[in-house]
Amino acid sequence: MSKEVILEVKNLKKYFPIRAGVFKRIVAWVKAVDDVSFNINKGETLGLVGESGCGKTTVGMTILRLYEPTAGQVLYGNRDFSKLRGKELREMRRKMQIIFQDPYSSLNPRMRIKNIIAEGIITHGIAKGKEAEHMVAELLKKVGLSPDQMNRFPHEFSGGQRQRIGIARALAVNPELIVCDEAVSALDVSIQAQILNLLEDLQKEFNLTYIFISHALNVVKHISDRVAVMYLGKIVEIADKKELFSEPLHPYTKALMSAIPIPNPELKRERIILKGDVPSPINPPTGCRFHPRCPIADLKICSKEEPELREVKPGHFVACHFA
Amino acid sequence: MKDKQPLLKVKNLKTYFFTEDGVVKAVDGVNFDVYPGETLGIVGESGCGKSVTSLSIMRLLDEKGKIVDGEVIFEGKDLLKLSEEEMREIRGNDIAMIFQEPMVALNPVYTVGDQIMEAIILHQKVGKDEARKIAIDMLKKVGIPEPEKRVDEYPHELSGGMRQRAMIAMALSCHPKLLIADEPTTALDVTIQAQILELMKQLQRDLGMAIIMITHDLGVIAEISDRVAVMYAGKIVEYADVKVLFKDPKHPYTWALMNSIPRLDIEQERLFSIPGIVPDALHFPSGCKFHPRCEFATEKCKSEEPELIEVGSNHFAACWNIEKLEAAKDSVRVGENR
Repeated sequence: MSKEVILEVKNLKKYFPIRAGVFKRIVAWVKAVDDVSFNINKGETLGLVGESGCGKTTVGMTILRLYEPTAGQVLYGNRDFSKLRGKELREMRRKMQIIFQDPYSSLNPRMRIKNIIAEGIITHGIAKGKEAEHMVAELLKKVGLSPDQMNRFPHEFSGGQRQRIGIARALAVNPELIVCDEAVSALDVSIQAQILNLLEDLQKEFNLTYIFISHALNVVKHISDRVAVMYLGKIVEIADKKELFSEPLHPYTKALMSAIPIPNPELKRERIILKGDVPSPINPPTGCRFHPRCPIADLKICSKEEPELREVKPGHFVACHFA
Repeated sequence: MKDKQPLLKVKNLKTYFFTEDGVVKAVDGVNFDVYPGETLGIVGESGCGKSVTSLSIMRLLDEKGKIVDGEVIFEGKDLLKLSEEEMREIRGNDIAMIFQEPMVALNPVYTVGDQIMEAIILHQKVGKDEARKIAIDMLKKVGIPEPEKRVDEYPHELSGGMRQRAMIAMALSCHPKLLIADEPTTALDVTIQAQILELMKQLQRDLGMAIIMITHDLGVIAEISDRVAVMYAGKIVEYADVKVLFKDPKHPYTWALMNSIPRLDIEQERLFSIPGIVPDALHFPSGCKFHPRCEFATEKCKSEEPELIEVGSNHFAACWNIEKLEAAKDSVRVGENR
């Protein structure tokens, strides 16, 4: 794999305002993403993993400018995507596509599959008419559906098939990078495996780069080359997949891994049970955000100083005072 | 286990839904036993009938659903023959149930305490003050901090994990002999799921109830079950002790399912995947319902439905071609498909 950086995220922040009262004044901010930086190389899959509310989806949406970033830069081939306008923005949007979690609400129920997939092709002026239809047929074959089905409506398909349609729609405009936001989370295990294999095949064929967002550590481990673990709007650890799973360094990563039930009743392992719930991102804990739940926290440091994400081994970054 | 009397015996249970489009055979001839103090896991993908099985045991089906055949013997009584009053005595008292979505299962306009107390007052014939004490005690048992304060809070004031704890407190407040847990951790984050599974195991040790754990997650099954029933399209296709099942699955569906999960504990180059889709309950295939997706299927599988047969000690599987799977397990890797 070439090590050409395709996307660089620098100090990205996304705060959502909370408004209250008659004048809808801003009373607080939800710090959904709070100073996140990482790179993605061309052709690789970066897994973004964390529990609900950690900001992983917001990172994906902000990278695509489906949310406007509060601060920070998203550099795509040395150009700051977060500043682009008009035609340039549109061209960049073609290069970056997204596949959503819910294959039910992400397809317009009143549109035929043909039109859902062709919409991007036509909007971006790639093709029209018969030629666009021909492309749709090819795309359907690529994702394992039959071109005869292009005149049907979304409700005529199962969840797994709809996810294939979502993938075809993303591929239609010949993107370079695809954000997969919990793309297999709503699917049954047997269908999940089909879609994961399909995503891997397509990546090879089209040299795609994926940002794979998921709460399922096992799925992320399977599909990613590198993995970033998020907690309360921050990346707490990022490393090569093999490195991260064999030697997790952040106490949260360790706890998260030990919490996943493994389908092997004979396997005995030590489980780290975290106390309490994930705190609210409106008023995150001071210092290290994980300290109230951390089994090794030293309150003298951890509740006061926020740990920097630092490189402890080549390519392995951790934000913990004790790693 | 076999020398003990089962606490619950489900015999040839058939639950059909009579819809406008036709008859949905959601549960079609299911047999299993649950022994006192053990955990039976029921695993399967969406639409396999695992939840309908549990709702049938509790007799909580909506008006379209009818139990058309079978027996549900609980402590020697057939629950399907009881009057609605008698059934109410059992529900929440001897058999309790927890659900996937605590926000839906809890009533939003009553405090957590009121909802727990309701069952205690109804079944244990105690006064309000006593019931409140029991409720606080239960909340403490399930690990809710400051139970004296939480008892007066409404469900929306609790986090997802806390709500699930409150629901468990409610279910266990009358010391049921059987707890049916229908995907109790599916809506929760993994670190919270780990807390709830640990809590269930600990409460089972303390209170000695049997558990039926219904889930789609083979990891959860491996973690918590003593014995497992694998369901597919309204039938149990395999039934065994948990260690035996994971070590030596005999049904092609169980085997394929296990190979299609991405694993944390082992390296996999490519996932095995089961072709096709989970069949729609209105149009189940003939013969063995798994045959269109099974790579070992023969002509016989298309026309004749296999029964569960004993394939080892306490190990049952419903398949015509068990030896074919055995042969395939030895070969390196079987037909990879999209």
